[in-house]
This record gives sequence, C-alpha cells and structure tokens, in this order.
Amino acid sequence: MLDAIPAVKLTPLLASERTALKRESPSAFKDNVMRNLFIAIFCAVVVILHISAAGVFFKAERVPNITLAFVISLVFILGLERSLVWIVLAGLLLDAVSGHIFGTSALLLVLMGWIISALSTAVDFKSRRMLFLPVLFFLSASLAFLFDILDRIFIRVSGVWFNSLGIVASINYFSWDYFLKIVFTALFVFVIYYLTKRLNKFLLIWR
Amino acid sequence: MKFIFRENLKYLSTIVILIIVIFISGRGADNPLKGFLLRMESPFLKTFRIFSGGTEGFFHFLGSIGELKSENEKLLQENGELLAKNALLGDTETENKLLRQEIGLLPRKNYDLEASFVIAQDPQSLGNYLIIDKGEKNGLKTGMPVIISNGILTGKITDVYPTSAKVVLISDKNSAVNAEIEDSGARGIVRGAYGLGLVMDMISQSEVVKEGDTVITSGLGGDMPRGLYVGKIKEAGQSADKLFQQASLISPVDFSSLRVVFAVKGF
Repeated sequence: MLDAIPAVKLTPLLASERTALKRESPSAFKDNVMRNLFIAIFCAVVVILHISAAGVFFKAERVPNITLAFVISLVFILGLERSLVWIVLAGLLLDAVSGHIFGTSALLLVLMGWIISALSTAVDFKSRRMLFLPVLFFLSASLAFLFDILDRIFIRVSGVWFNSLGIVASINYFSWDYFLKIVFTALFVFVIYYLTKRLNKFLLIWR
Repeated sequence: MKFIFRENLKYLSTIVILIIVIFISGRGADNPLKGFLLRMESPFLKTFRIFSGGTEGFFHFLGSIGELKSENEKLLQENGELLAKNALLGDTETENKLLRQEIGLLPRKNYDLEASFVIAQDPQSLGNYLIIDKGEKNGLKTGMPVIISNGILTGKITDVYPTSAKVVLISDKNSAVNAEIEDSGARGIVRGAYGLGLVMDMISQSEVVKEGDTVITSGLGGDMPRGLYVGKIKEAGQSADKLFQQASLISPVDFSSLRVVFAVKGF
C-alpha cells in the first residue's frame, strides 16, 4: 500500500524547478509550499528555543548553540543551496535578540554552512556508516568552537570599523562550562538531524 | 575559475548582501528592523520561557524532594528568629517614621516600578544581558535601572523597542555602577568580571574595606537611586603599589535564573 503513495520528500525545490512545477503540476507546487512552511516553522521554533528556553535548562555559560546545530543538520540533509534561505532567516532571527550588529550571526552561519558543504563534498560522510556518528560529533564540536572564535573576531573588527568598541567579554575556552557547551551543541546536532529525518518520513507516510 | 565562480554565485551573492546589511546596520539603521523582528518574536519567546520555567521547576522539585525535610527544619528555626527580630524592629520603624516626618524626608522606597517577565537571554551564552517583555509603550527608557523584588540591583536598560527592552546585567564587563560601602562610605565603581562575578574598583587606598561589607548604589550621576543593594564584599585586594583598591563582590542574585524583574521608571 505504501508503494502506491507517491514519494514526498522534505527537500524543497530550487526557483527554476518551482516555476516549471507550478506550470505543470499545481498540486505538487502546493506540496512544495507546505514543505517550505514546515521548514520555516521548524527554523523559527529552533531559534526561539535557543534564545528563550535553553537559558532555563542550562547554566548561562553552558547554553548550547542550538541554531548552529540546526544549520549543520539542515546542510547535511538538504545541501547548502536549498538551505541557504533558512540559514539566513535563522541568523536574522538570532540577530534581533543578540547584541551584534544586525546580519552578523546570519553571515557567520552562512560561513559555517559553506564549510560543512565543502567538507562533505570532499569527504562523503554519509556513505561511511560506522564513522558517520563520530565524524558528525567531531565536526559539530569543531564548528561550534570555530563559530565562537569568529564571533569574537567579528565583534572586535566591527567595533573598530564602526568606532563603537566597548569592552568585549572574553570566553574562557579552557573552562569546564565551555567544554560542556561544545558537547551539548554537538549532541543537539544529533537530535535535530534525526528529528528532521523523522519529519521527512512522516511527510512521506502522511501524503 | 569561471566554473567555480558560477557554481558559488548564490553563496557569494548571499554573503555580499549580508555584508551590505551589516554595513548599513553598523551605521545605526538597524533599529526599526530589529524592533520589528523582536516584536514578532516576543510573544513566542515569552510563551516558551514561561512553559520552560514551569517544566524546569517541576523537575527541580522532583530532584530536591530529598533535601526538603532538612531545608524545612532550617527555615522554621530561621522563621522563629526573624519573628523575634521583627518584634524588636517594630518600635524602631515607628520612631523612624516620626523622625522622617519631622525633617520632611520622603519614604525610602518610593519607586515607580514596572514589573516585567524575562523572555530571552544572551544567545552567545555569556549571560550578560536579558530581554524583558516591556518597552517604549510601557514608559521604559534607556538608562533605567532594573531591580528584583526587594531593591537588589540587577542591571540597566540599554536598548528599548516598542514592546521589549534589553537589560545589560551588572555582571557584564561593559557595565559600571557608582557604588559605596554602606558602613564606611568608601566609594568605588562596580563592574562585571569573568563569568557572572562582580568587582568593585577605584576604591581609594586610604579606605578600609572588610570582607562582608555591604555595597549599595551611591546615587552619584543621578542615573540610579541611592541605596539599591549590590552585594557583599567577598575579598578585599589592597596593594601598596597600586593607585586604587579592588575588591570582589558576591551578589545574591542568580543572574542565570531570573524570571521577573522590575524596571525603576521613577525615583
């Protein structure tokens, strides 16, 4: 019975594919709109969880970078090209609350997405089943660390450039709290990655 | 080279657009857009925060059941001692009121307060600022101090939007509060230190600073009322070769678990 149901993937379409689809198959176009809506809602929920709820369950210096975890998972599942819009949206939603100049978090997240995309092209992670989980963990932890370093650099550079440099709070990279933050971020990548895969399966059965 | 450029055109153009947005925002033009996004996010932030608080409270309660009995006994004993002290202070309060009336002083805590929920915290996890659910529409302005229940200073409002505001905590390195030691009157500036600690700096070498001294706001500068509790001296750092003394403080506020704060609109 399941074979009779046409496959519906979470992967949204590119602009050119969307135009062709709208012309040839209006119902499939509507499915694509629904898929994009799902991802948009998921993106907003993840960012809001990061900004508001995470601070309740984790100590301030240990709050994981859930938005980055979302970006990593999205790039792995959809690829950078299809997830670029959602990465920028997540970054802008984060910038609305953060003390950064508007657009900084979005730029950093796009850079992180680019790095993941480049690495996964060079090394086909998904095909190496046994190694995939540890590699994903290590990659996520490294990117979380790199994100924080680039974040501090951006703040200093933009502070000097726009003549608004106050005292920039430093992160103690060698503290237990920071180590836990990195570990929690990497763990959240697993959660969001498998949640997204389940959502994809749900859409497959639902239609 | 041309092939690589074509393939990466979408990513490059996104990066260029974001850099342009950063340049425009850096010149101070980002406030309306930030305010709009924050206005859209605020109701969801508040809802998630409140539900998370309830969930966390439930799990915390389950985890602390074992400690409840001993904590209960300790609190009963403390309650008894406080009732006795209260009885003694009753007379002192009456006398204080009469004397204040005689010399025409306003009541001590005559603040116009605006209660606010904390709806979000610093997403870079440094714990140095909060977002509250009140803003311009509720009469909040930049520079207003923020306290918790019984007059303990927590932070200061630095950015105000239509329905929300950003509060920089006193534990932030950019924060500077004019303070004094209650007993000796020694003046200094309280700043944030690493993590969520506090340091009182610029204390004159001639002043005596002891562990356990109470630190309050001095009211200098006029941006904050005098007498808001800041913390207690943890360790005094007197040094003969430095121009000023420095002392570390302990604040009674758990900055990472604030739920409700009060913005002081008038004093």
